Amino acid sequence: MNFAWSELQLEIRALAAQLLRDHAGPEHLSALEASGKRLDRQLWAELKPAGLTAIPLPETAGGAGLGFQEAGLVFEQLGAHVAPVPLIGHTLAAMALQRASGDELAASQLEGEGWLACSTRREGNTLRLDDGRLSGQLGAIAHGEGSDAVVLPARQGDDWFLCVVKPGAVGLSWQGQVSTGLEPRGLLQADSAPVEILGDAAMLAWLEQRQAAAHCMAQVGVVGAALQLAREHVCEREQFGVKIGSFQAVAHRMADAWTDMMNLRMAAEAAVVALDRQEDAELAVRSAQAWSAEAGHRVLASAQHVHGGLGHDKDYPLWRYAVWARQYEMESGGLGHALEQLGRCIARDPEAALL
Amino acid sequence: MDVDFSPEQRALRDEFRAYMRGIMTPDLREELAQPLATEGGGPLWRQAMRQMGSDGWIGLGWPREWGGRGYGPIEQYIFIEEVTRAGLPFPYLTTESIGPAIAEFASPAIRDALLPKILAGELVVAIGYSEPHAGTDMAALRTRAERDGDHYVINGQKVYTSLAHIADYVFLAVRTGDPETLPRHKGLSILLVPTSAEGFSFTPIYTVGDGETNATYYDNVRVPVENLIGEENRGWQVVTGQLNRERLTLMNPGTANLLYQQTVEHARNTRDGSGALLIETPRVQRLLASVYSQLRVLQLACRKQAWAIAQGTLDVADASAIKVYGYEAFLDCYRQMLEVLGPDGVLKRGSPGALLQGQLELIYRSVPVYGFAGGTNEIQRDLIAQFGLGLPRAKR
Ligand SMILES: Cc1cc2nc3c(=O)[nH]c(=O)nc-3n(C[C@H](O)[C@H](O)[C@H](O)COP(=O)(O)OP(=O)(O)OC[C@H]3O[C@@H](n4cnc5c(N)ncnc54)[C@H](O)[C@@H]3O)c2cc1C
Repeated sequence: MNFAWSELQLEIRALAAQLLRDHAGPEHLSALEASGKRLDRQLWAELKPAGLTAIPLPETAGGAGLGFQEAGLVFEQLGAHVAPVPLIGHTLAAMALQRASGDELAASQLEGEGWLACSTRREGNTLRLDDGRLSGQLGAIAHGEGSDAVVLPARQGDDWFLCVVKPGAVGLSWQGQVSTGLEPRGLLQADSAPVEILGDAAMLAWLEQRQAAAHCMAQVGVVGAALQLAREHVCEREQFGVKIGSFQAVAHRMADAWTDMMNLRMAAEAAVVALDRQEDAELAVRSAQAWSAEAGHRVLASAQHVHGGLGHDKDYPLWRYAVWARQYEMESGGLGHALEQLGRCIARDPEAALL
Repeated sequence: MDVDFSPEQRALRDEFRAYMRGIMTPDLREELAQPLATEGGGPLWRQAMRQMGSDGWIGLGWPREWGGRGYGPIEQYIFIEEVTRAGLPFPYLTTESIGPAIAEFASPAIRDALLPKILAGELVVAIGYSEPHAGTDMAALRTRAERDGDHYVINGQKVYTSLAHIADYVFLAVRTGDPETLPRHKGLSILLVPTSAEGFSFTPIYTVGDGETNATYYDNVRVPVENLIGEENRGWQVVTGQLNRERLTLMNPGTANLLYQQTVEHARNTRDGSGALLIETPRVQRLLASVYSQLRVLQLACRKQAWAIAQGTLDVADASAIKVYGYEAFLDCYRQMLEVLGPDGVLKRGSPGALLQGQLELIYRSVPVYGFAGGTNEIQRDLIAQFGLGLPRAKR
């Protein structure tokens, strides 16, 4: 057992933190959000050469040659700074391409200034493969329009496959959507569009677990940052002539938030560590998802509550964490979905789920 | 980061798990199921304790110079997780907490007399802190000890002195200082009181969890000064050290893990009214998932705590958070396990048709004690707020 991150891992996290602090401060974010589109191409252009956008890919595939844990630490910082870049989708799509098509092709996809997008969604997904062509509809693809390629699931007969399309290909059309976190999303319509198959349902499940764990690590960053703001606020704000943090009711709500944060972090870190060792780490991933939903919901409610009116003021940074915590909470269906999937997993192999 | 035990630690765990299967004979289980024997004290329980002592399983984490096996906190934690999983009521406080306090603070005579007996599984020590008027605010305690030559003379009353009815000694917190010049925690001392001493008596307090704890009375009880643990009026230091050591044992998920396993087995072998296996139904799957996600994170947090103790980096707030969370998790998980069993889950042991030998029925009514045992959760939340978050201290 060793519950500490290595020095290299801590350096990567610090590098990501510094870059994001410098280039994605609250004022910068406000300006960007006023433009209506939460996508920062300049910041993306900073992250790419720093090697932070393809961490878990082999160097021969244009990556940093590190593990999913290291990627997770960068996702955490993405969340902590609510940075408006397509980092998670890009990293996951690149992992899928490399796994399906090998290092060389992945490396060629990572060149240039663009990004890749990724969806693993099956609910509400009517995409079908027919004769090597794609038809149907899939919504809420983060940063899909304008990307270099989109990795997505589609059905052929009763089976799911993981596929890739070029977003500008003939037969594809996009309608813009915006999520609660103001992330640009796209509703994709496909009408006999060209498509390439990357893998089968097992590969889709492989990618889905990694995407879920990535969102959990980002949630660690979001929730941690919100808790930090709340901490600072209750140490400063006075009512009735004393700091509000000295009221036991406030302090205990904060302590419970701290405990939730401890558990969320433990569960999310255990998930990314497990994914570096095992192809299938569904128990760890679904547990982390459950904690991401619970802790995200509870801690943000508490953080906003102890802020009073300030927690709703768009000139104060907390609101951003509030919406992103909800985004990550609901991204894969929320607590009910996580427990449903975890329960199925336990029922499938109860021996593996003993403690 | 690596959240798993090393191969050596896993081997130790497997060896000890197999060993405990031998210790937990049907006869011993039967004895432990008798009224008021749930915490041990019967002849077979004493025999099992002595057996574990002579086989070298007690004091795994004690240093060799105290006669222990010299393992670290992680192995010690493995021991506790497995002994609770086995279902043996083990006097952890004696072996994990009081023993080390005696080794650190007691006079050589006491140390040499008592440590070998604790290691041999022959000695039980009860803890006498709480009083009728001093619970959470322990520093308000009134039981007094006056020096008389080379003895202390003790007068007062304690409540909830668990195990006093089977114990050899009480690890007793008393007031020795003048309340004017040494108020509250400044005037406390710890005395080791033999339960055979003249003037010591107890009456039972029966608890909702089928247990027995005691009110203990001290009527001019004389104990030699060598029974002082630590320095006179410096007892608070001994107490806080002891409460910190208790941490490894307190929220151990071993029992919950065992009951979860048995609940899963029940769900695999039982059908609902419509003929479906319980484990195939979404309702039961969701309950099991909720239990798993909570207990798994508790297990990880406890292991991390043991690792942090081994590294010398244990954080006060982390330890308090495990205490707070562990209780909440137990309460919620036992409730959800009982929901898996359905209405027959509340049948008591011995009733025809009782499920899991009534263990969940028993534990669900016992578990609220964890909310305050070992330091009430309100104080733990105060500690998290103060040390974890740096909040201004609440007025008390
Ligand atoms: C089964 C059992 C076994 C026990 N075994 C032992 C034993 O072996 N040895 C021993 O010495 N004691 C033992 N105890 C006693 C136990 O440690 C006390 O019950 C505990 O310290 C709480 O004290 P109290 O019961 O007086 O409750 P109180 O201190 O009166 O507390 C009542 C409530 O008030 C709350 N409260 C108190 N202070 C504050 C505060 N500052 N802020 C917010 N809330 C507060 C508490 O959290 C609690 O909810 C045992 C108790 C039980 C039930």
